[in-house]
Amino acid sequence: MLNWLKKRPQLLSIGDLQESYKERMQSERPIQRRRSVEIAVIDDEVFQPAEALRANQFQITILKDLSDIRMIDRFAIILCDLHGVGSQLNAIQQGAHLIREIKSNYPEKYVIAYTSTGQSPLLQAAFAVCDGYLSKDTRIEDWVSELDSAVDTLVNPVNVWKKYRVRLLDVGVTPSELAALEHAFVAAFNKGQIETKNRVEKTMTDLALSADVRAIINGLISSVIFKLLFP
Amino acid sequence: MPSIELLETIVFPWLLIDSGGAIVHQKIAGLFPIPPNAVSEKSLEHCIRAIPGWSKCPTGFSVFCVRIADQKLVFPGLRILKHTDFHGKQPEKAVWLTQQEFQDYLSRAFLRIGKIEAQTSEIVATNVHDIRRISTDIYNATVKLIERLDAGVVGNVPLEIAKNIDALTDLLRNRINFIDYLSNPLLNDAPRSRIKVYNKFHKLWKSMKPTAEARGLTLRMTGQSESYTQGISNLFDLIPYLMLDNAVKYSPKKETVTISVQENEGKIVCRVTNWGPLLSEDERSMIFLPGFRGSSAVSSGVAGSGAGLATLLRIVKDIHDGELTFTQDDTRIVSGDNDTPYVITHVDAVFGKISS
Repeated sequence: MLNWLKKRPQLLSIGDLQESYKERMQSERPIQRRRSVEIAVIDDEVFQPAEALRANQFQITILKDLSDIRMIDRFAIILCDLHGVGSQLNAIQQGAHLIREIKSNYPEKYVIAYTSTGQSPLLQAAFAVCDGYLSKDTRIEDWVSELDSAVDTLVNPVNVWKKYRVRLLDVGVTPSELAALEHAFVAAFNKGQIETKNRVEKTMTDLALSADVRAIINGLISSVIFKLLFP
Repeated sequence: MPSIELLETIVFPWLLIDSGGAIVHQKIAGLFPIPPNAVSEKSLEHCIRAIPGWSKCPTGFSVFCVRIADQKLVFPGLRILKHTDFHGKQPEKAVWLTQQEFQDYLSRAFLRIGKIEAQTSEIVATNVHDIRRISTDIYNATVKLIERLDAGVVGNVPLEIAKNIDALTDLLRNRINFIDYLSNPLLNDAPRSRIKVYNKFHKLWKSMKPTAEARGLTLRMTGQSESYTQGISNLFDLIPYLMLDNAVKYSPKKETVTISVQENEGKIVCRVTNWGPLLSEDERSMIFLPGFRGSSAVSSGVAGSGAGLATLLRIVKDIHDGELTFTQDDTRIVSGDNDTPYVITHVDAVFGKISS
C-alpha cells in the first residue's frame, strides 16, 4: 500500500518555484533586472525623473500619448500620468481611461499611475485598476524603490502564475486541468523559456482546452512578461 | 460669517437676507421641508422684515431670526408648541418643538460650525506658516549657493548647501502630502507596495537634521531593520514626518530628539523620544483626537492645530494596519518656558513585516 502511494506521480505546484526565484534574487544584482525590463512613460509634459532613472539603469522610453494601444506591446511596466494624456480617447477620464484600457488589454503589465494634483475623480478611477501610485514630486529614491518592486513582482514566476490561475479559473478551467498546466509550467521552468513554452503548449493540446483558455495561455507565453521570468 | 456649505448642515429650512432686504441664499428643502403656506408672498415679506428673535408670520407659522454679521438668517415655517397657530392641513411628517428645543439645537449647530471653522483656519494658518518658513529657507539657501558658485567656490561648501536645499524640499513635499491627505480621503485607496521602514525614517532624519540643528536641537537616529511593510509610499512618508515634526516643534532648545527603528517579536518598532509638554492623565487618552491640544502644549506658546497626531493615527492604523501609542515618563518633570512642565515622551508606531 505504502509503495503504491510512493509511486503515484506527484504534481508539482507553483510554490515549488519559490526557491529558484529566491536563488535568482540572491545571485542577480537589481541592476541586471532593471536592464532587462522595458518601461514606458506616458506623459504629455517633461518627465523629470527620466534622466536620473536612466542613470540607475532603468530602460525608460517616453511616449507623449497613446494613439494605438499596441504602442505599449513591448513594455512590461507603464508609468502613466493621470492628467493631459488619453484625452483623445476620453476627455474626462484621461489617464485613468488609458490605464483601464491598458489593463483590460494587457492585464499582466504593471501600471503605475502618477499625478501632481491630489483631489481628482481620476484618482478613484485609476486606483481601481492600477498596480501602483506615486505623486509627481516623488523623490528619485522612491521612484527607484517603486520600480524595483515592480520589476521584482514581474520576474517572480510564483506571482505571475498565481494571477493567471485566477484568470484561467474565470474562463472555466477545471481544478484538475489547472493542476496539469501548473505542473507542466513548474516541471519545465528550470529548463528555460523554450522548454517551458513547449511543455505548456503540449499540455494545452493534450487537455483539449477551449479557445478562451488557449487565448489566455498563448497571451502569457508570447508576452514580454513571460520572457522576464527566465534569468 | 460661516460658509453657505456649513449653514447647509442645519436641518431646518432657512433664508439668508442681506441688509437691503434681498434673499441672498436659501435652503428650502432638507430634513424638514418648508410648508408652502410659510413662504407665501405675505409670509416672505414678514421674514424679510423680521427682527432677531421669535415672531409669527401671517399664516400662523413661527419664524425665528438670528443676526449673522450684517445679514439675517431667518427660519420660516416652524411648528412651535404654544406659539404656532397654523390650523390648515398638516403634512404627515410635521415636527413640533418648543422654542427652547429649537434654540438649543441652533446653539449647538452654531457651536459646531464655529469649531469646524476655527479648526480649518488653524490648519490653513499653520500650514501656510510652515510652508512659508520652508520656502524662505529654500530661497535663502539658494541665494547662498548662487553666491558661492558665482565666487568660484568649489568642493564641500556648495555641496552642503545643495544638500540642505534637498532636505528642505523634502520637508516641503511632506507638508504638501499632509495637506493633500487632509483634503483628499481618496488617497486611502491607493494601491499598496512594499516599504522599507528604516529607510523612510533615515531619509527624514537626514532631511530634518538641519532644521532641528538650526533650533539648537540634536537629532539622533539609532537601531537597525532590514524589513519591509506593506503600504502607500507617499502616505507612509508622513509617518516619520509627523512624528518628528511634533517632537522637534515641542522640544525645548539644546535637547535631543531620538529616533529608533528596530525589530521586536516579528514587528518593526519605530520610536521617537523627546522632552515634550506634560499631558495630564485625563488628557492622555485624547492625544490622538482631531483638534485636541494638551493644556501644557497650549501654554508652551508653540502654534499647532491638533491635526498632526490625529492624522498620524489614521495613517498608521487605518492605512498601514499598525499600532500607535503615546507614553510619558512622569517621574521627572522639569519646568520650561512659560513655566510649562516638560517630561520625556515616547511615540511608538509598530508595523507588521512582509517578506522582502
